[in-house]
Amino acid sequence: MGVLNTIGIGRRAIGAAAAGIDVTSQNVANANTTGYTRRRLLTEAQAPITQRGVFVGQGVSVRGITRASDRILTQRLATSAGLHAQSEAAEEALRTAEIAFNESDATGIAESLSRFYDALSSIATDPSNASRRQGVLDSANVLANTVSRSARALQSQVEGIDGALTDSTATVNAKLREIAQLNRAIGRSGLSTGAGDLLDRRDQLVYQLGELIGATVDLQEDGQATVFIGGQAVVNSFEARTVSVAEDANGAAQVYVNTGSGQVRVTDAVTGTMGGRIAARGHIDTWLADLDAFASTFADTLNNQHQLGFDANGNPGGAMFSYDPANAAASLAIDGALLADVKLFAAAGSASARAGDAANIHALADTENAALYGPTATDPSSEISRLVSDVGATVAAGANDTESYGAQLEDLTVMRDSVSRVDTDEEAIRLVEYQASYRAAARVLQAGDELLQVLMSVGG
Amino acid sequence: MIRITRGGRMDRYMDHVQRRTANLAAAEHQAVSGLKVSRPSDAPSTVRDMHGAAAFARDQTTWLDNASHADALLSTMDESLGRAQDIVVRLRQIAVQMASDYHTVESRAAAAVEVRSLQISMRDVANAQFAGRYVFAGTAYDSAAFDQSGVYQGESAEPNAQIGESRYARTGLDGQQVFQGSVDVFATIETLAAALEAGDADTTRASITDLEAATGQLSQWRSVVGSEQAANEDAVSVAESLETLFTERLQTIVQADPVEAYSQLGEMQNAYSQTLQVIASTRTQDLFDMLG
Repeated sequence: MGVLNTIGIGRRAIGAAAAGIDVTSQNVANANTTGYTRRRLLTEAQAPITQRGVFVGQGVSVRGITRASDRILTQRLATSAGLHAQSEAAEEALRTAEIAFNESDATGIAESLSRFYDALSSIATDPSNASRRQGVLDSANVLANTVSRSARALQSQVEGIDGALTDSTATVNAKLREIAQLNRAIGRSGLSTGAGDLLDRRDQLVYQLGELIGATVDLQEDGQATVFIGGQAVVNSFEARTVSVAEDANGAAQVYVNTGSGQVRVTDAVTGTMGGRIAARGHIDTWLADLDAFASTFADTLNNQHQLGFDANGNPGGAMFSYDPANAAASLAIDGALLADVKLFAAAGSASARAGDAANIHALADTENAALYGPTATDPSSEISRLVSDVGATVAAGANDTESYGAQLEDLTVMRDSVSRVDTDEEAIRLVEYQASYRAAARVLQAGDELLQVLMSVGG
Repeated sequence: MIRITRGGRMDRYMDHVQRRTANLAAAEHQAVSGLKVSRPSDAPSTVRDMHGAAAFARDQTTWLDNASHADALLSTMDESLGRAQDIVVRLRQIAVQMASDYHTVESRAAAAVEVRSLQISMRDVANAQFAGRYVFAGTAYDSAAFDQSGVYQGESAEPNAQIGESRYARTGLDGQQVFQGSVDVFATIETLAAALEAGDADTTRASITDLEAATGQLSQWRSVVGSEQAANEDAVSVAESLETLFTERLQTIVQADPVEAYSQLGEMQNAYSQTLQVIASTRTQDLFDMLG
């Protein structure tokens, strides 16, 4: 007990209030900063001293500054962000691919296929008519171009996805390195005041890695983050591994974690934007394969039948369509010589046939009902309908996933905000509180000073 | 209790505005384009119906075109066979008259001139064309069915046109069957003309039976053509009904109901406007404002 003790208590109280104002100011300044976690000043009563058998309080001391964060929420949020980003990226890629199957107007494959067979039905009434022959060849050309255009659009989409995956891989690796560096820095600084911004940055990187690749994280009490992709630790303490993307023997995109002893495939566990793109690529690859199978079966069937007929010169028919077996749909085209000369269209059933012989046209038209296409061996129109319907259903399911995961992410974000986000009204109240504390402490100091003056004047 | 922050509320407002804007854009698209299905994902389960209805409607249109083409050719055949019947009737009249012993060699020679003229007419009828197609030449319809001597140049195979699902109409006939079937019309006329020129009453009399058989033969083929025409008309009626049916079905699947589309657009505009109003009204002072 003593005037000097009073002055000491006042001085520490002013310091604590000033620190509180600093923390509040920092919170207000970062109220709209992405990833910022609100801070709180942690104070405690200074340990008392004993004077003549009496415990005398020593005022307040600043114990530290805490971050209002929840480790479990941070981890769940990263996982949820990964799932949402995955569905969003997949939906975006699939919607772009869906454009290749624009069947709502007269430019779709189904429409072109139907027009081709209608042209065959129409020419049967007058097989020698040059303009009707040209009509068949034109409709065949349009059909081949439509199939080819759709396939090329899908291929272009796959190339775009592959480029984006490569870019994402570089970003992921950079973020993994940064987390390893942050682990080191956080370890050095401890969990004191200085680590707050580092922890914020680390949490933000964890969230971003969740969004990018669906990385999961194990946050330790000491602030260290261990990051996993598909069960493989990619950041452990101060060390970071790298991930890479490569095509496998089947042409599918695979994600690998590069360990010291080789590569571990983790594709199945990858979510996030990369996972969404890989999933979309898988769907697009399947559609391309279906389209290739359709194109080759269609061309082979029509070619075989066309070669059984005879052209206007009495010669056996040649090929009607051409394609590269390794790239059937994209390369599908009507035979160049046939397109240039309508007389080469093999409408007749015999070499000596006269103008009205439509035997081979009827046979060509009958291929419309040939159950040779797709997994269930159906006719060409049904196969295209199945394919387009599958495209539509996949995109619609992707949109539903995005909405569903978006709602989950929103709920978790509300919970995360509830814990960590700065609220300016709250900070205003804190500011008033700390200002009042500061004024009160100043009064204590002033009182101590006055008492000291009195004592000094008595002594004088 | 969940702690609500001002920043969090603003983020939620942003999400709501985004959703309302997206809904409004979708409603605007539907109202402007008139389409409720503009991409496969709008209604994946209807893709097969949509393709089916569109293809069936187009099939009917093609078959109607084919039927129209067939109708013109069948009408040409019908008119030609009617004309052929008239010629044979006139030839029979001449044969009956000239078979009488009252007629002289001179009068029979004069009748022969008319028969020769009718012979040419019959050949012209047998070589009848529509738009360059010889309707009695079978599938060889790009050249005359009969030469000057009445020898058939066509094909026995007959062309046809698809006018419905597994329905075909003849668009040409085998002229040999029509004019040279059980009775050779040209040979009968030639026999009559030669008999008249020779003043041969017996042969003239004998040709009457052949001419009556020729009338029956032509009449039979005319009824065949009539049946084809009736079947064609029936096919047209069916195709017209189905074309309307499938076109309407396609419209039902693809096209938006204008009243519904505009009603939905109104709802979306109101919802968007209300969201903006709510957000605008929440811009109240915060505690810092009040603290001055």
